[in-house]
Amino acid sequence: MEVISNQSEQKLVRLCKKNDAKAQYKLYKQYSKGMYNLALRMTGDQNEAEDILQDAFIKAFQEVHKLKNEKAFGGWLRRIVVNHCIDSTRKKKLVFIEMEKIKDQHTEMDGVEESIDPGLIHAMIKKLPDGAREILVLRALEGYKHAEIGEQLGISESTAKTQYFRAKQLLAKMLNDWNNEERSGKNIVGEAIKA
Amino acid sequence: MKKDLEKILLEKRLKLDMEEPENDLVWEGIRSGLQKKSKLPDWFWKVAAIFIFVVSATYFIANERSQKQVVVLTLADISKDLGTQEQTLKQQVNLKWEEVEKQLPDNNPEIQFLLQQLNDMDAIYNSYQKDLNRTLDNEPVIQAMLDYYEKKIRIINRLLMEIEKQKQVEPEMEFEHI
Repeated sequence: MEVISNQSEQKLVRLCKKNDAKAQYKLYKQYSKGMYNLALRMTGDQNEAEDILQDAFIKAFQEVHKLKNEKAFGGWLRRIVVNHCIDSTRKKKLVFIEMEKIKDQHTEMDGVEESIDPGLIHAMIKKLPDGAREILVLRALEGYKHAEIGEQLGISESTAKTQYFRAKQLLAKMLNDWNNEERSGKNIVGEAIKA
Repeated sequence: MKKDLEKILLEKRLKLDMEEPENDLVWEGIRSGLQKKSKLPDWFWKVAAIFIFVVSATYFIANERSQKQVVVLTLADISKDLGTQEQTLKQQVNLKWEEVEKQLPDNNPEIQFLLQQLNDMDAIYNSYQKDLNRTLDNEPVIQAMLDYYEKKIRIINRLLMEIEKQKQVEPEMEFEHI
């Protein structure tokens, strides 16, 4: 991936404010992968993630003139992608996970092998149920607070908190299960990523 | 060694971005979306709204004024008799004024005062005419307009008297000098 320095990114953002197509393309190339993977983890669906990526960039380029701090383009774009994902989530009926066996506290079940493959984590997040997946991504990877998540998804703060702990435990369980199977001789990481 | 998932997620956050989007396809969609939705900037609409408002307001005011200017009623528009009466008075005023105009002296304070009164009366007459336009057949206004001519005649008569007085004073002064 081509790394663009802060200064040249600011220049590109300024050019985007003048509707410069080349600058728009450069910024797209710079951020498309990260934003796509974020949308993918939020939605769990490739087509939906690509639609969100497209709409988010259109919105960003149309409204870039409103961005006063040109250095903050990346964070601002990330926020747009998250908002689009949340809008898309609102259209679905979220079914929150019921796992009575799993406690709402930190347990040993939250622990996973330190050397775990990031590709496997990414693949397993995508496999989490709707609701749990969004909450986990928003909290653990995007740094949203429980109250903010609750507000965005239309649930209470305590539900957001509980669902987060449950999602985390479920993800840990899924990762450990895959790891155990791999130890027993199957090459399942590659399969999981493909899936 | 096992570690808390939350910590692992934070550490490996940047390495999680494993997949590539269909870049060409998405970019094509972005370009066509931008062209389709390309809209004029907000400031343009603000300027356009102000422009339309100013043009409409100017048109409205100009239209109002021109309408007021076009429809000017005179006493003749109200009745033929009033028109004849006004015409007769106007003629008397004009004849007397012609007489005065020929012999107007310079720098006589009394005469200047009377001339100023005539100007003031013309201004008052204009306001009567506006009232007549607004109220149409309004008896007090009609009477005030007819009175205007009579008052004007009285002032012109006083002017004539002053001029006569002036004429009498001037030979006496010349005689004194001799």
